[in-house]
Amino acid sequence: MAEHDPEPPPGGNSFAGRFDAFCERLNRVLEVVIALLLAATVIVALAQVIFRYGLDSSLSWSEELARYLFIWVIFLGTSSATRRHHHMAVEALASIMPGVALRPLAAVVTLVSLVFFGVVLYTSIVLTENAIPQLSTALEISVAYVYVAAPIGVALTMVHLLNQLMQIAGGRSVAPHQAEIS
Amino acid sequence: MTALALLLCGFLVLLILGAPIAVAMGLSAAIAVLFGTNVPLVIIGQRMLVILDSFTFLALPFFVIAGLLMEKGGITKRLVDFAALFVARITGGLGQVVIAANLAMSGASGSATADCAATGTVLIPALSRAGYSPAFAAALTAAASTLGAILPPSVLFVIYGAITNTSIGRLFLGGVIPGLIMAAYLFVATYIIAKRRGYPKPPVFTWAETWSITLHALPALLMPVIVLGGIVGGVFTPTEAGAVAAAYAFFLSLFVYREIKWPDVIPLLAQAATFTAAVMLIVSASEPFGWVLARERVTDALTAEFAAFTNHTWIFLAAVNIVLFLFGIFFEPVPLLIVMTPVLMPLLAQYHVDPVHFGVMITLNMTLGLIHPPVGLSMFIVCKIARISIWEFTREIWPFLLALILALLVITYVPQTVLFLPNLIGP
Repeated sequence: MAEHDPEPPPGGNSFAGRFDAFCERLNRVLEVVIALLLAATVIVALAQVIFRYGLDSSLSWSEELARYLFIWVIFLGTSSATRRHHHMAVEALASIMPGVALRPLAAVVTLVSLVFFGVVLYTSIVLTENAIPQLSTALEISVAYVYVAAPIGVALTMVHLLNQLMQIAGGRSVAPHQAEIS
Repeated sequence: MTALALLLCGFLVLLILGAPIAVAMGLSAAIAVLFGTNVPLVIIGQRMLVILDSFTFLALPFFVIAGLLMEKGGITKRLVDFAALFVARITGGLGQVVIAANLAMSGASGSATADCAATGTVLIPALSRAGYSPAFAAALTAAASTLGAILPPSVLFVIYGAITNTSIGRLFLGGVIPGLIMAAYLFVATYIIAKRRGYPKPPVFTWAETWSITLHALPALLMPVIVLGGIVGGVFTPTEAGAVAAAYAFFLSLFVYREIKWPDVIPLLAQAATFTAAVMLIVSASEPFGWVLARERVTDALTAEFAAFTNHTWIFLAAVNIVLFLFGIFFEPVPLLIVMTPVLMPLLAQYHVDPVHFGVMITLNMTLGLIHPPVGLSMFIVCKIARISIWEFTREIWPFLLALILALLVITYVPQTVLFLPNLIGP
């Protein structure tokens, strides 16, 4: 419970500080969801092998379900990658910039990211609406259930980007981009 | 032409600013579509979504999960111990262990930097304690970890295969001999350096130790057998093989070696998912970018330019290698592969280059970008582990870098090194 927390959130009790703490909690919950979705994807792919060889009867829906779960993992994972600064970028300029220029640079990068994800949000909402009457071939569910992952994941991503913009404006740390695995 | 100018200028400016590569590609494509064409903007989202609906790309998170589990679940440790049995008595013994360990590791994990971190944390301190200079240990670890990207399974081969519709099974097989060539060259370089500097030989293992280490490593050694055997034998697709590898690594780490507990599983899966999302976002954003390029007939123009420039295959391959090596100074292999592959693919037919050979070649080339200064992810990882400066690293990496460039030359100009195995037993 936040009330019993002996330490104040890292950003203090200002609105920006509380918003950052909210984003952190939001991301923690989301990461559990993503992990479970990915686990489900592995299980579905395994089931596909087991049914084909062990039980000698191929599943008709397993590949489609795995692909659809994957799309959800990607878009929800994009918001988590944004929160954790895991998107790959070329850091040559930032590394030779003087310290004072880093904050404006980070602000510009966050702003253009917001514009890009804004475009994806708008276009994916249009596509999701168009997809409502389309049924998938194997599962025969509306394709909109799959496509809607895009606007949801992108909207969450934009929340994290807005938060980062607020933290930059408030003079808090500007975390560098870093990919862990390659 | 306005669309093309907008696309390229937008892309370069965003890239130099340090925007995420996916944002640079996607936003420049959106600007080009909006201000340079009459096509509705919705094409951006459409192209981005279509490419993600892919069972092939699903192999990516599966092999990433397997690699993470191996590192944290004690599988790596067993493989490193086992590798030491074979090379410990050779000059520069512990140094050779680094190479052998990466050889063993990469048979089951799919990523160079994951192998680098995994073997580095175990071996760099061990080498330093045994009297090797930390900078040498760091450079060798970084160089040897490139094997992870070439020996199957390989995350980069999955990405290349999925983008180009090249058989991932054939790519995996194609990486085997090149990986062994790289290992052999690194082996010789280590031998020469160790002999010159008089690095010590580690103590010999007793029979009891040998037996115990082998027994503990056996379940881990089954992993590459299952993965490669399954794909080559046509038992399952590369994606299914990834799921089986992830499940087997999960079983080993949780129930056999017991170095992972249930609460560790969720963060590990989340880490794999986050990495996958970061990669797939670039794949996704490269689609509208490539769509504008194709609409403006850039690939056609490039093909014509190249045809006018040379009709010799060897010059074409040299040009590709030089350009990619230069790009590798600034780009990580994953985004570089996603950006460059669609541009280069249309050129292969006119120079009669096999896509499997080409894929292995460019993957090896881009992987070298991980280990050479001024920037390189593996370089940063080992410098951090060994607590050395980039400068100290640079002085030690060059013999290994030369060895790997030599391997790249051999693989570039002797296509049989790549194609022999897939043609022999290809799926």
